[in-house]
Amino acid sequence: MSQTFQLNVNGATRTVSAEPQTPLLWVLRENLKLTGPKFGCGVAMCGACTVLLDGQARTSCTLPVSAVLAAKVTTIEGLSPDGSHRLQRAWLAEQVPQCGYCQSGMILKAAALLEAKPRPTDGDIDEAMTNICRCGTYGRIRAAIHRAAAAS
Amino acid sequence: MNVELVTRRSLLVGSATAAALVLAWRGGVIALTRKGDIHDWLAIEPTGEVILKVTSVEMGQGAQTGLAQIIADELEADWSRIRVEMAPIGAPFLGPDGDYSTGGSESIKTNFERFRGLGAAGRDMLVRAAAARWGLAPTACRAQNGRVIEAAGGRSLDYGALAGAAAQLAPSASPQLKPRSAWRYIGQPIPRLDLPTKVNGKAVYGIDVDQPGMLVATIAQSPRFGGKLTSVDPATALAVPGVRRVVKLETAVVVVADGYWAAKTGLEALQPVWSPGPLAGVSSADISAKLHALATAGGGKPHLEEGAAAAALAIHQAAMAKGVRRFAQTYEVPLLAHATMEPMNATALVAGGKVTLWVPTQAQSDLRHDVAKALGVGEDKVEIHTTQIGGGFGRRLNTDYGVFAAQTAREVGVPVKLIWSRAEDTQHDFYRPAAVAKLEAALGADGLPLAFRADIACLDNEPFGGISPTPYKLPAAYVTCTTWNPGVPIGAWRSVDWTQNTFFVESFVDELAVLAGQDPVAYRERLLVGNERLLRLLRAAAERAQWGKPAPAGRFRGVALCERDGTPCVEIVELTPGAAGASPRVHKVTAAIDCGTAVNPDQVRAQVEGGVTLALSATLAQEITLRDGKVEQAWFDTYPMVRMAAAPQIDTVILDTPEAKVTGVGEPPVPPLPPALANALAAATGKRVRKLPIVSAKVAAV
Repeated sequence: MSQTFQLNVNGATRTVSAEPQTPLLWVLRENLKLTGPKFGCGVAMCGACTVLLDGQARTSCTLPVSAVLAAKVTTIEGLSPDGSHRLQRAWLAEQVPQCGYCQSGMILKAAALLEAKPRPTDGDIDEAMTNICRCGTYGRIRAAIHRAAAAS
Repeated sequence: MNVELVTRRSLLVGSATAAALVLAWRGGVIALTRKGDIHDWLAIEPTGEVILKVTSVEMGQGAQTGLAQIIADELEADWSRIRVEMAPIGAPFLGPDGDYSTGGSESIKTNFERFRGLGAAGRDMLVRAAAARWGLAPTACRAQNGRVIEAAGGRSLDYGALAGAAAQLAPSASPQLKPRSAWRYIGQPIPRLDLPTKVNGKAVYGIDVDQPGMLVATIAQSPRFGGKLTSVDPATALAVPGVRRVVKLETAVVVVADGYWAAKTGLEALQPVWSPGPLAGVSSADISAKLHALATAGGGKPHLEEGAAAAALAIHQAAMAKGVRRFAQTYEVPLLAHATMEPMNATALVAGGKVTLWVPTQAQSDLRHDVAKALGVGEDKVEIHTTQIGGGFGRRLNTDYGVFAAQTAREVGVPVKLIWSRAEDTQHDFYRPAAVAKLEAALGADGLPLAFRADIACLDNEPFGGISPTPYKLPAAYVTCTTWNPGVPIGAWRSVDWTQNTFFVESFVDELAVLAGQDPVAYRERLLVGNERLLRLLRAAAERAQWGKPAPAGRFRGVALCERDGTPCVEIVELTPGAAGASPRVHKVTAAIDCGTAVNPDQVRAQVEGGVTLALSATLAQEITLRDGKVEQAWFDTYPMVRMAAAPQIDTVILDTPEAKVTGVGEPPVPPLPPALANALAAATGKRVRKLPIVSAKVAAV
């Protein structure tokens, strides 16, 4: 049966009613109309659904809403109020996206990386940036992360 | 450029909407029209805003930005006031083949000249309107960045203020195009118009569509192609909270629910029974064996008409007899899925005799036709809204997912968003066809071919692109294809025939170079004599990749090239071979491309990066295989993608050929990569890969 959950999403408390097993992805997309996180595979293999959970990158497609508890959830919509986060600016400066479908997840994954490693090496980027981009924007993502790191 | 005479009607139309300048383009004719008319390609609004209608979808290829650059340049528009809209699906916007679609690297190629003409016609009218207002000759005025300026004095007027007056003038019969040296937008790396919404989550893809009262559905199709739904008991799905309906279709069952998770849970609770269909018992090994047998037997349909084919065969056979040696090899490529990041989805509403769809589609006119047919309504009752597209690569030229959504919506009566699971997307694609080709040449004493033959066996119908002709001067060529398909759905996969045929030709040519004891670049140069454009490109790529110098220790290089519909592309791969059974590590790909004029060089570069990466994933470990008629792959573990750690450095050289027609760039970077990689591996190990992928996905860890 549906239950009521209080979630902390992008700095606001949101009350949602959902089956406890419903992945956070669908609660964000359908209940809260935050469609930045994308459905790519549903089995945590592609990373299009990546959000930040207390600052850590996490695939929201396999995380039951009942397990989110009090964690602070950040989606691409909440990364900055006006799209001016240094990663978003770097993404535009490097003209990273092609179709753009994976890029919300990529940017949030990069945000978590920069939080942990403010000056990541190429090796750090290889290790952290494991999401799939079908359009082949990897080189530009790498450049954008270095650019954003330098802008800090 | 022809221009329609101004008729009394068009003048009246012009005065009725005196505030906007609206231009139509129809069959080579530029004409004045009014806003809202189906022909209104270009509008200069009284606000000064410029609205361009296009038939090219935005799926990552940046076509809409490139098209806007072309118009903006000739119109001398202010870039910040350009807006691009999808044109309605009406006859004036249909392409030369009568369709409204985006594919084949056609967007810029098709529109370059006509958009220049439209822009120039608009600029000329605005200049004349300003000149008349000031009592000057038009030559005493010039257009610049959305304004007309008095050349001698300081006066200037905004396009918006001139649009109404310009709309009272007749378009020039021969609007003067700018000289290349005066281009301001064409040839510049202008930032993409659509990117701001792609870094803040605001871009609306098909999967993000929301309509009042909308339900969400998911689908299971017959696990074997061609199988039909025999029976299904909906009770188990209906017992899942949130599930509203179970819709039975001929070849699929759809569960409709309040949200995706409920729909998915409901679908998994069903136990549909399917008829076996024609592929029951068929496996990939069977298909491969059959294609090998057909290619070896030869004797397929020749690439030429009957009479010409007989003559070509006689010439071929005579030349074969003159060779000092013969060389033959057989190559094979598998089925490939498109695997766009956004799974297939569509939203539909059937109400009041009308069908409304919101679809990430590359094929608006086909979709409208197929939906109308499936629902038994007129095409005029079908309205299609195109959304942003999370990857196309040819998959969304097929209309199946839109038709399923419409069929579902008809049963439900409210808007329904049908979302496929990733597994469903992988297992119900229209695949790049599997193919086997036997190539044979007779060689002269100099190691060059005197005669060339290819016998292809393919699931597709006569796929000769890239092999008949090849980019080379291969004398006495004779090419046949035997088409055989037991029922596997096949479709357009970024660069179509070229994906398989370039692998065949460029692997074979590389083998000939080795046989001749010649450097692969030098050998290709000898085969390209007379093709100055491709020769120049090959040399540019070789120079940039430092082909003449030894590769860094442990690394090896391979080269390959293609010419896809007028755009030549050369790629050089630098890699370290992997251990037995493991993927090689591709460090660097140097690509050189010549599309005549690169309208947006940064986007040309992006397309090269995209094409190389897509082809690299395919070459290393991707294949769709069948077992008892069912696709074995489902998710990205068995259909693996190159990720950051395996992504090579990609260095792109763009050469312009100003006198050449402007051609496309989406597809040409794909075909050279597989053979360039295989050729590098052969250089490294002496062992040649003649069957793709290089490593089976079952053991690959890309």
